[in-house]
Amino acid sequence: MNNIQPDPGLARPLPHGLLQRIPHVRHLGMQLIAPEKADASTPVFYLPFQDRLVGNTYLPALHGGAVASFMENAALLHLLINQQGDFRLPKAIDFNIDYVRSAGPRDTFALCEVAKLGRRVALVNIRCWQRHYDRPSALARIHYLWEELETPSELAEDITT
Amino acid sequence: MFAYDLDGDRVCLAMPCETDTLGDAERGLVHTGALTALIDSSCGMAVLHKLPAHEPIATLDLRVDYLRATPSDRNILCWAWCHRVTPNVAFTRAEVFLEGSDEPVAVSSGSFMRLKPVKKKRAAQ
Repeated sequence: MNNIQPDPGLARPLPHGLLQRIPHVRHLGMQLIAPEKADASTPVFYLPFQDRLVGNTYLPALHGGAVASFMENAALLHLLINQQGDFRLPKAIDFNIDYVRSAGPRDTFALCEVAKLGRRVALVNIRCWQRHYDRPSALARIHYLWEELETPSELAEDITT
Repeated sequence: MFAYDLDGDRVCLAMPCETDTLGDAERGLVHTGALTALIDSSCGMAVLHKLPAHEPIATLDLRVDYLRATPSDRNILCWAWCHRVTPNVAFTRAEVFLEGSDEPVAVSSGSFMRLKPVKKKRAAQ
């Protein structure tokens, strides 16, 4: 799965319901490229370049916080994107990011891999790149407290009855 | 975000809660990604504050533990400090609070590269 370089023209806005629930995602201006269009096995998240995302005008480079937030949201949306109907937002437990090389003033992409999806905790690895998938700008991992939806409601009934 | 306070080596940036910083609109919780951005800025500021002269730096890595959900009814303060500077790397710690509270909502440790490394002076022969 090397050299994934999707065409930003194929990106589409995120589902309205998600944007309503998570205003910060709307604020960042993230978009989504479907797996089949990006020649990937999972959705590719796309952050179009915007002047306001620049944190270092000296290099220039995107703000580390913008990159981190984009990657964190990519992981969250990666977990949520297949959820149907009502869902509960997972809670972030911890977040680790390594800035491998500076992210220049250009379009940015992210791809996630669920390393573990347990009953309570999900671990998601996130790769962020710009011009070459093989030359990532940042690598990150995040743990989410993940509550399974169907099972807990049944469980709750069992406990209360 | 804006500069809020300074105490020795510690710097404090504040972030007002706006709709754009929400990660859960229904429950009115602040987005953890927005906290990360605040932490990154604050730690960078703490490094620049610690260094003898202004020089370019870049975040190398950042780890954040989100200790509890963060309500959006108050300013969010991030106290950051640089506890070690080497010729190439600066190490940071940070704690995030709601204004007026002593309980941190997040803690962080990170490291920053100094982009223009300082060459060690060799002892005169």
